[in-house]
Amino acid sequence: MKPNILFLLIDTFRADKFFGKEKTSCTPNIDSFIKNGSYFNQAISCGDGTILSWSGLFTGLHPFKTGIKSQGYKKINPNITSYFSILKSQGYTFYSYIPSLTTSLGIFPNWKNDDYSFDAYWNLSEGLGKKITDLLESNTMDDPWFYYIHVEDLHFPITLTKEFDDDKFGTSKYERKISAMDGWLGKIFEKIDLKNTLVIITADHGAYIKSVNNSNLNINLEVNGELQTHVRNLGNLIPKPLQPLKLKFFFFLEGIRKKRKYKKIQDLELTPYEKRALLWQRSDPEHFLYDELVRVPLLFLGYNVKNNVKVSQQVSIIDIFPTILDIIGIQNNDINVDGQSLLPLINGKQISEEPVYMENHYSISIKSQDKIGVRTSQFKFFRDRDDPTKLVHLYDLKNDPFENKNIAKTNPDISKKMEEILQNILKNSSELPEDDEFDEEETKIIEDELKRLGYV
Amino acid sequence: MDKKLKKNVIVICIDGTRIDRAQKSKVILNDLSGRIFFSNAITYAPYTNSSMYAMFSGSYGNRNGCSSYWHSFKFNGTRFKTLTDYLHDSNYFTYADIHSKLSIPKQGFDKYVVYDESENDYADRHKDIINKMKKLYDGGTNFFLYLHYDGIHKGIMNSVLKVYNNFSPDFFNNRLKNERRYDDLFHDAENYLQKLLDEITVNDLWKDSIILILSDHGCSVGEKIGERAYGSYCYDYTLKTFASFIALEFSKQEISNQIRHIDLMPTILDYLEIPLDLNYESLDGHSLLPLIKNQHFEESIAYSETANPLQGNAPPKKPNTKSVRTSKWKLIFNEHNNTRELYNLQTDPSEENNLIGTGLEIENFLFDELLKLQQN
Repeated sequence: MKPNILFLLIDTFRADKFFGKEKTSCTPNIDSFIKNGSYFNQAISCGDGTILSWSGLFTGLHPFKTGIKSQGYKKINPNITSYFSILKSQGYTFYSYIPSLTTSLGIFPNWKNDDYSFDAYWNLSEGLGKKITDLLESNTMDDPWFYYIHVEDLHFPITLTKEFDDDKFGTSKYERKISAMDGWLGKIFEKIDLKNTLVIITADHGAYIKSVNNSNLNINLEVNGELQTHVRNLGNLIPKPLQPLKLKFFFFLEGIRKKRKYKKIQDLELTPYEKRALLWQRSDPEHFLYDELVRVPLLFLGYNVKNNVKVSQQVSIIDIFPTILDIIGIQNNDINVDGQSLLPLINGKQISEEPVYMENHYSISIKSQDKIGVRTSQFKFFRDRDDPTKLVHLYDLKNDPFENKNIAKTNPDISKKMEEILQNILKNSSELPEDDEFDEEETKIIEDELKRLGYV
Repeated sequence: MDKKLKKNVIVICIDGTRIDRAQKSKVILNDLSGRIFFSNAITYAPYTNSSMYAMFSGSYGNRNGCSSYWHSFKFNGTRFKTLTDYLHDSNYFTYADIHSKLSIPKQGFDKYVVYDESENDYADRHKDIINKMKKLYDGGTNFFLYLHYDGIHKGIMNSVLKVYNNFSPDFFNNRLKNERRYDDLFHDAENYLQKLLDEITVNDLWKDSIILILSDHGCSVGEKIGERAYGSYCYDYTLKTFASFIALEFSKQEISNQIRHIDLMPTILDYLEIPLDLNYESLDGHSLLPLIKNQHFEESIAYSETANPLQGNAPPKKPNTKSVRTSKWKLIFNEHNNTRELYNLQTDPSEENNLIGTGLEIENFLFDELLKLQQN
């Protein structure tokens, strides 16, 4: 019998706030999971938005090859074999709690529990946590199961109960929320038998945290999540014909907010890393691929996974499913993917470190300035999505981990090399599948019509 | 009429009109007040359905989903709002009378009629519909009417498509015969159009309507072996067509600047002051009102693509021949054999002198633009 799999994706969880010296939250459970598992502290997402990350995560492919283009959010290319179909062929039954926007993307399998879908931003403490544990306790899950849990607690806007709104739980609202989540993660794990369950904890992307706390400075520009939630709920009541007006009003307000923030920080001595975090707004047209947005936690534990392993080699989230298959002993020679199994690293062996391709999620409401890029453990490179010469960013990650100094202009040779790596990924990765599937009935209708029109 | 109405919209598509014939036609280049004649309108696709889906959505087919006949059902109507959708949402009654269910997007139409292939009296049929729309308007409802004339296509189908293949010497060695055949068909189209214009006058609809007359693509008369009609290549005799936009308050003029079919939809919306819906994808096209009003207007590169059947019997499912065009230059990328062509359209409008590989800087620029637009 294959082991069960619990896949916990915590939306918007940054790697540096999961583990390491930048973390100020209080997380006894997460700390314990890390001790009992194999942790990758340089795991990089293939995108800064959920849908892009999902597309890479569940296919093992770079997102630009999955059919789910960031623009338009088309359905996944039906000719791509997702890892769900491989698991299904091995007898897995699927369960989930997942935000409701997922159904039209064609990525996910049929979840066996009818109540899988929830409105975005429903928190663990608001009933989601209980639903998750109730299902685990119910003894109704068919073995082997794959249980996908998508937690939105850290997604903007963050709401916090008074109990956790205290310095001892972290220096920012974001980190205090992590402390609040930790208890629920502990409760979920209490219901799991790690001997026959493989657990994966990761995130789709990171976030800017609008708070700076150091010995010289203490400033917090995080929004009031409760108020934002009310505003959002009210906004959802606005009828569709008035939505353009709503959007105009939103951008008007964002303009005011931006000005206010500029005023607040104009006399402060801030690093570029701090400044971009404090000033970031959802309406910003220019998008970036800094580590705070793409470096995510990645932890394997339970079935067949060694404990107390820390891997510092750079890996990608598109490596996760090849690793899962390797751990649970499924040979997969049928599909050609870009990701690779990380099991050798867990077992103390070596594999080559691959550059990680990344791209920006685009804005629906405005024309956004999106980028694509590539990361090695030494350098981060990203530039305009369409024009290799525009908006080029290059950072020396070893000497400048917060990406404060863009060295693209002073290091054109390195930029050129990184662009070559990027081009290699774009051109030479696994074969591009046909991106269209033609329905037989529709094809027949078109064929008949083309005959009638004299074209065939 | 109690409520304040907008102007009605009438779009008449004369399928397969060649630009050289349109430019000499007194019916198309008529004396009507407010007639703006665009003599350099570039279609996204040199065949009907992808051309018209692009026109209706203001967006290229490689974005809207309809990039070939085979992709007719792939049009992404949930992300791309069509002209019909906009007018329907603005309380217009929307009516299409067309020759094929593949030719334009159905969404947003209150009435979508595909006429029988035996239909011959297009003029009476469409005059009757104009009369009905007039009554509707008199009753206080705006209308959007789309009329498709397929007489040229039908004639070409019967006397060319069913008789010759794309390489038949009998066709390509008889240019004069081809020209005459086409002229006869075009003459019928002119008669049809004149009757409709007269009917609009009789119904006194000019002051209350904007009228767009256009062609979806041109047609070969034997210029290039390998294309007996249209849809194989990206040469100007099929890509370059016309659009005539008539609104009484404009000054009559001919505009020779390059425009694109995808610009027509945003122009109509701009004219009617209907704002773009930000819940949908942005458009590739831009309003032409600044150009019409003699204001600053920057020419945009026109992207086109088609699925050349080559030696096959049916067009392939994906475009394999692509082009980008400015008013001076055109670069064609024949993806099926990885060749390129470059033409100076000002000195070589027939596109006979391929300048590819002659060291012109424009070659790389246009190819980069093509790659960008292709990945759009």
